[in-house]
Amino acid sequence: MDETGIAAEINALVVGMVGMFFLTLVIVLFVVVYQRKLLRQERRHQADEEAHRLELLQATIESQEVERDRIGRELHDGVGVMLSTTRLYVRHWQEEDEKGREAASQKIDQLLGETVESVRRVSADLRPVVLETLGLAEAIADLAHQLEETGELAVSFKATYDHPLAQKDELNIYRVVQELLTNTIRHAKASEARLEMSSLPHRFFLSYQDNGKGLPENGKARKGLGLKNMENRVNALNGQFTIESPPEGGILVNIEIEKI
Amino acid sequence: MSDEELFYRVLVFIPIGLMAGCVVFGISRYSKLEGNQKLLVFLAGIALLTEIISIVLLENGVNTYPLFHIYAPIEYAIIVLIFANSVFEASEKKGLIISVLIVFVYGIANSIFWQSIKEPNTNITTVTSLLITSISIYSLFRILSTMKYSRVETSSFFWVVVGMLIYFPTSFMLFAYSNWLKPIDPQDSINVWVVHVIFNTIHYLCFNIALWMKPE
Repeated sequence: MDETGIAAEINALVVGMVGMFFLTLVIVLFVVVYQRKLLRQERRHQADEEAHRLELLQATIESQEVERDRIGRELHDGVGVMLSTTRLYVRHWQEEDEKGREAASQKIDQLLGETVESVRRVSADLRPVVLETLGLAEAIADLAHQLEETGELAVSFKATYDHPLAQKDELNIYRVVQELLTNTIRHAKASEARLEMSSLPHRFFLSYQDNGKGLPENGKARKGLGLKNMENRVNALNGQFTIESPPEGGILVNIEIEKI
Repeated sequence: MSDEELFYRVLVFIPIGLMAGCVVFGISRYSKLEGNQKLLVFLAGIALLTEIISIVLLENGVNTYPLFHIYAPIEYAIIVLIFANSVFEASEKKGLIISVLIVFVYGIANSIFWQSIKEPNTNITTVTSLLITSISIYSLFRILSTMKYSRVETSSFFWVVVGMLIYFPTSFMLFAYSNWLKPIDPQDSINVWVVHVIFNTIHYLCFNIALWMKPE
């Protein structure tokens, strides 16, 4: 090959090598820019998760305060008042003659009975006896039965509960069901609710559906204290809590827990 | 000697200077370097030693090709060790180690059967250039997928990969063309070798930057 041909080939090789160099620069620049983008996305995701975690934590603290406030008021306005009244009647009994004492004794007995009943109610609220003695399925069935008796809500409940959860986990699920039923009565204006629960050796599943107003139309409404609390309780059990509006209306809540 | 040849001879000393810079800088802050950076210092040291011996041998009219027959597989082994110590998973590390064994075996076979130690070992340099290019590109992908570094441009490994990608693809192109397509007469191809040395210079500049970076 003549010199011109050789020179052309050499030049082509040089151009090829320089082209390869610029291609490398493009690849490297792409990696730097793309990595920054991925990092920004990851940080945004972490910030969202942190914000959500803080929201749930705040909801827990708030609900604890609300519960303490309610119990405090019930003890003060209910038990406290009855015990004070009982004390007045005991003083009255000390001052009265025999005839007056009989009337006072009856009143004292009635007041003490109401006090015991009030304390029992507060105690049951704090720690449901049916749950402790008969387990989650029976406790929910009892809750459903109580609501049916009031006539406010028709509740159907099906359970396959051959592999029970731990007691403290049962309490969390019970509170979630309580909250769901309370929300249905107070906000959803529903007439029916359906509960299904199943517990397998490695998985627990609970489904709740009502025929009420459902979620707001934008789908992702700002979660109230109650919903956040429920989500918090299920998260504490390493479970998943989902809520949606089915086509037939109302809400559908699914809780899935993988047992360790 | 033509002006281009003189220019080339002067230019060759720049990457050698940068190799020396790597070694001196690396030794001065050796205790503060992470594992990969220490390996880089070692690699630069081996390369510098090879270049110095090569210059001495050339000055005395001795054939330097046997030196590069030995150097090429060793260079590949150290580079693979640098990669294996970074973003690769255990199974991938095994693959890298196997490739080193294959290169050593191929290097010995090449020296015995195809290109004697008195000839340039372009077969080995072509293959190792291709392998290093492939591993470097895959490393960039792994850097993105593992998100190991908060800012990739401040990690020493990134600069090592950039240096590899600037030098070895062009090196592969040069040796593949010369080896498998058409041999290049050094007299006619000074421009090519000047470009090759420029990329080698940038290659060692990136290594120096890699040594500057604080370990993550």
